[in-house]
Amino acid sequence: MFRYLIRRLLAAAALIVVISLITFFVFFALPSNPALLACGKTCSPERLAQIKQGLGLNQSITTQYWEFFKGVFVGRNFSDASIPLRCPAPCLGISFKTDTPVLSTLMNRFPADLSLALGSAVMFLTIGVGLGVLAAVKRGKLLDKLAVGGALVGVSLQIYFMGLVLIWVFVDKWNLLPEPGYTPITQDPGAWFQGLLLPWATLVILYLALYTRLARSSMLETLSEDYIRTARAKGLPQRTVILKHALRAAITPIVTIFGMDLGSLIGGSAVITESVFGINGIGKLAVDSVTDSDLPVIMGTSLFAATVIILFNVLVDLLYGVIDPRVRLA
Amino acid sequence: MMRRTRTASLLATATTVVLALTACGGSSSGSGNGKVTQGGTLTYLAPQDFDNLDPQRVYTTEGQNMDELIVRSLTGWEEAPGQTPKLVGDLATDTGTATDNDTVWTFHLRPGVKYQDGTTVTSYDVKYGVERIFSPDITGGPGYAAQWLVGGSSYTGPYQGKSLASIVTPDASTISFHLNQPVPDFNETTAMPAWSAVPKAHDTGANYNTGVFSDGPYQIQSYQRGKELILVRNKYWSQATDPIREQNVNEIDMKQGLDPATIDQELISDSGTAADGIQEWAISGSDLSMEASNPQLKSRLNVVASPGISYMALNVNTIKSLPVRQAIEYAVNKVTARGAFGGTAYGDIATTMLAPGVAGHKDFNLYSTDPSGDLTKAKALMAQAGNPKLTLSLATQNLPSYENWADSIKASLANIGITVNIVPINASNYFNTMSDTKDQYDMAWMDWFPDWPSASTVLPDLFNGAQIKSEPESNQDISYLNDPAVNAQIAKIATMTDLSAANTAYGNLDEQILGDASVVPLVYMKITELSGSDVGGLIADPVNSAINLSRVYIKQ
Repeated sequence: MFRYLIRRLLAAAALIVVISLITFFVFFALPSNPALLACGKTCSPERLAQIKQGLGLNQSITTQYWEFFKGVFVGRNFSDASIPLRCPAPCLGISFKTDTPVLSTLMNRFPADLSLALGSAVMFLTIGVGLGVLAAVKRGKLLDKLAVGGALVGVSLQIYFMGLVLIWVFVDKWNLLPEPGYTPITQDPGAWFQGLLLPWATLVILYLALYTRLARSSMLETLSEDYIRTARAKGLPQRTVILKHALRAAITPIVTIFGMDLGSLIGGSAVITESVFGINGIGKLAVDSVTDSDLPVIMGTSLFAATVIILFNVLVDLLYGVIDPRVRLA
Repeated sequence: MMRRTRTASLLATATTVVLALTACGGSSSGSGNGKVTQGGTLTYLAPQDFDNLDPQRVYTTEGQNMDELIVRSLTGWEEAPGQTPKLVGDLATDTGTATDNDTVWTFHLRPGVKYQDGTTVTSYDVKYGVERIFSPDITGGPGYAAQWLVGGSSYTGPYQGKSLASIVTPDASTISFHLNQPVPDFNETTAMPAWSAVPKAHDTGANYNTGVFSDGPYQIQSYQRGKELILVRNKYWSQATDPIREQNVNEIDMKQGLDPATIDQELISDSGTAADGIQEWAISGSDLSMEASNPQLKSRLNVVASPGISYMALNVNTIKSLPVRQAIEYAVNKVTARGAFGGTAYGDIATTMLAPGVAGHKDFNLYSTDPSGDLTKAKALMAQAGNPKLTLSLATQNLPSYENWADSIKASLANIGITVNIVPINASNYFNTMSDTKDQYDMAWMDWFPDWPSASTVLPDLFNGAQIKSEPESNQDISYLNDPAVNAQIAKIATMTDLSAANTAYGNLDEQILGDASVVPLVYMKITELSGSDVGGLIADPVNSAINLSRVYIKQ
């Protein structure tokens, strides 16, 4: 088990390095010129050269990557106009646009993504699996059709649309909720909850269909297994059969998908939800950084997302051993 | 200046549905006239953070509009609803004195102008502020200082302890600028935020964006980039020293990173804090035509007749035939082209490159009198050119409105036998791509907002052919016009010290340039923004193409 974990973590680290390389070189393959963006409209070639030097863009791509890579472990020194600037390890660089260390920006935005992801994940997992199990048990009945159909309608409605409708109904029209947004839970738990309720609901509507359908089909498959028939034949109550025997076996594929979904949500994949509800998370940061050709932030956000997703995958693999005794990690 | 590129609204397709639902909810109490009251918090709703707020780095209309509340420049524009802006002294007592054939400009500072810590603003601070522009770390700002100040081309800013000798400060309240050429409208340049005071002790270099030290009515209380900017009163600011601003609201709370469609929806509903709110960006596309035609929103819509021009550049390098270019001038249906951006609310049909609000504007129309085009004339010109079978590329931004615009041009030119290949280009890189001389297209959507409302910040920028060679990566002459007669005229007008003669000459130059048929002027742009029903004192600012907040108040 321990050796397995070490091996997985080493593989994860190698993967992250590869992702950082790809991100870095793709950026330079794109037609963008951050120095020119910074230089402004009336840009003389001399000034452009000065700015390129200031941003470190005059060095070769490999040197730039090496500086970046080294900075993660030993930190970097940036000489600023007036104040020498130290970016301590792990240094992900300093934003071209805002001149702030990328890591502190990420850490600043991370709580919003975590709140958004965890809150919605708890809701869509429990409701989705619950509905799926119900639908499987009542297969072909009205409840099954309602659960599956309703979830499908939910996923078909785009966030753009659902988000604005929810805001209009609950905030503008009925004044039931304050304008949605992110307030740190440490600052005001009530405001945190109220501000995130609509974003959560939007994500739940989006993800519900997937989990309902997944749970339903997985449950149906398990319910047709021989050992379930045996359990029923033993005279076990329906509750025990469904929850203890069937669900435990059916949950493995759900956990796999859930691990990846949660990882990517925390990593900032809920960018449209962030945008509609004005939550300044890592997803918006990533999109803005591409718009601004802000290489250090592009690197930071993609590495952050990759790391979170990879870690959740490792976590899911470890969980298999707990959920399913048949799986032995070695 | 180019107004900041609008990035794609993620919600562009969904908005109309919801907005149509909400349109019944708008109240209409009007935001124009009323008694100015003190207090309250203005909510300012923005899709993005500023590129820069540092006065020496700011170069977007949005940033300049905000800076006007925080920093005072040497001169400024006195504005009131319905009046033509008037240049006045801001930090300076008057609009400056020009000597030595307009090559030396001297300003005297007003006594009693104070920073947020109560210390007095000096001419040394203004000198230091202007010197910051030259530092390679203080990027993004306008290039006029480097272009005009003697010794500016080799100076690299004050951080290594060097100062620029051509900025002279004989005492704490006097400052002179020595220029390498006559600049008769230099005192209009100095109305840009860059020409302001920065106290050396509070300069945080590249991080000054979040720590701009105030000598205006409002100071930064907190600024989390991309999230929120909160401004509060600067208690040391005095109305007696400031002719162009007021200090009515207690606080300005700017929320950044909101989706444009969400902002539109909140302001239309006019509920909660949105009643005390205004949006930072102009309404665009389908939202604009929808909101402009809603009678219930009329009293809350603020419209600025901007000096900006939306046009199509015709590349004279690749479309060499003058009759063909003239045929395109006649064939383009400007009404459908404008329709793509929101119709009449987007602005008036243009026939010149200098918009009516720009000093030097001359009213003329060399081509079709019907804005929908004159196909008879266009076809005759194509016949004159020998009816060539042409396929031309047309660059545009990859956003819905811009692609609709390109479709309308394509349809227009199909009428005269020209096939158009539309090339959608990533909006965030659009202007960079266009100004790189390596990427040339036959035709391109463009727009231009002057830095101050004078022809001198339009025609020399857009049609001086010399820049194609001298600034190959930041060329603004997208038509690639390099007409010796035009270049000579631009050089000649630059040396004219009589402003009104210069303006007349610019008007004639505009006509001369249109004679080359290298641009199709399309729309004199308008900026439209919605405000909450409790917001008063908003001024449509044609200088900066924005809704000016310097006299804003919240009805109590």
